[in-house]
Amino acid sequence: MQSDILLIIPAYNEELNIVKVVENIINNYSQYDYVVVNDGSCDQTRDLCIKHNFNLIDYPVNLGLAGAVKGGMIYAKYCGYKYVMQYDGDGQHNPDYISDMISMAREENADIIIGSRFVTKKKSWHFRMLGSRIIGFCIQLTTRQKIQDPTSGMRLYNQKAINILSGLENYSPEPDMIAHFIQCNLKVRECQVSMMERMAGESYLNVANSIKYMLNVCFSILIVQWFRKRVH
Amino acid sequence: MSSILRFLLFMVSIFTFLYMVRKLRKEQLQILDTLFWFVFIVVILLMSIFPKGVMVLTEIIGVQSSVNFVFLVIIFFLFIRCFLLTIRVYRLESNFQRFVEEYAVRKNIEESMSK
Repeated sequence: MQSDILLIIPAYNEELNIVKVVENIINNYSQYDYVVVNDGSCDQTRDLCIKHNFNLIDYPVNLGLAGAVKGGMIYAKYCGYKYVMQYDGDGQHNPDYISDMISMAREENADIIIGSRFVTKKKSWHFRMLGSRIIGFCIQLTTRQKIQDPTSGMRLYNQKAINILSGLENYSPEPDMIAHFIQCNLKVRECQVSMMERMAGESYLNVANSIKYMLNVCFSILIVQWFRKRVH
Repeated sequence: MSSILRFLLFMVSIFTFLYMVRKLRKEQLQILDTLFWFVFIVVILLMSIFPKGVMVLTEIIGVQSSVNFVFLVIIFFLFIRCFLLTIRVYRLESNFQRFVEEYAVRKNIEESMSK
């Protein structure tokens, strides 16, 4: 352990991107520690990570993004990291902004920093952003806080958030958790970042999955989170 | 539908809802399951509040009495629930099997490498 900050890199079938992404961190951003969480990939992801000697947590079975991130959180808790960041294995996140997010976390004593694409830039009215707008509206309705980029996967968590996320069963790195955390009086702030387009391979969100996803998230934010026990 | 039945349906929905909320607060229920039960409770509640609507549907579908229609709806929900559970159990069994196989094989390889 060489740093206070751990990057959790969840990876499911990312054989086309994973080497580039991790080597970028090792070579150019060595001030951060990282761990790759292989989520039961059925392609060469695991073999590539072993061949290149990456720091790897290897799941024999696929658990989904929530399970992969949770494993990283448990690892962070055992090793005692002060900050943990969810960093996608497909190369969309830009590591330049990590230091901005950490400074913001330290200055504002925030518990969660979301790397948001839309703090200073305006959101386009493209169809893809419709979901983001709907979820943002739901969050504002229930928490009165405006989150411009609720589906961003680039999030920084401090130790308080790490303890909560690694301990309980139902937590997952989805927008409804953000709403829940705000209601628990955890400080959630957004920091302007820019992201790159996916380098290779395909995202898992097609039309059917997107609609299912939206339904679940909105139902969770609007109804379920009202009743959850508020963890402090 | 008799008033007693309507009252019973109403009370059952309310109590199921409260029980579900309690389980949710104790983190004992998955969020996705909650959606299903929530829809179920709303439907039962609506049936208890709008008996005329139930009568109209009963006639359209051709069931003999409203009570039977209520039973049909409940059975239908249980049927879907059962089917979804079957899928979930199958997935659990496959994952578990896969986990056991991978774990055992990897353990063997690790031990033979460390010798």
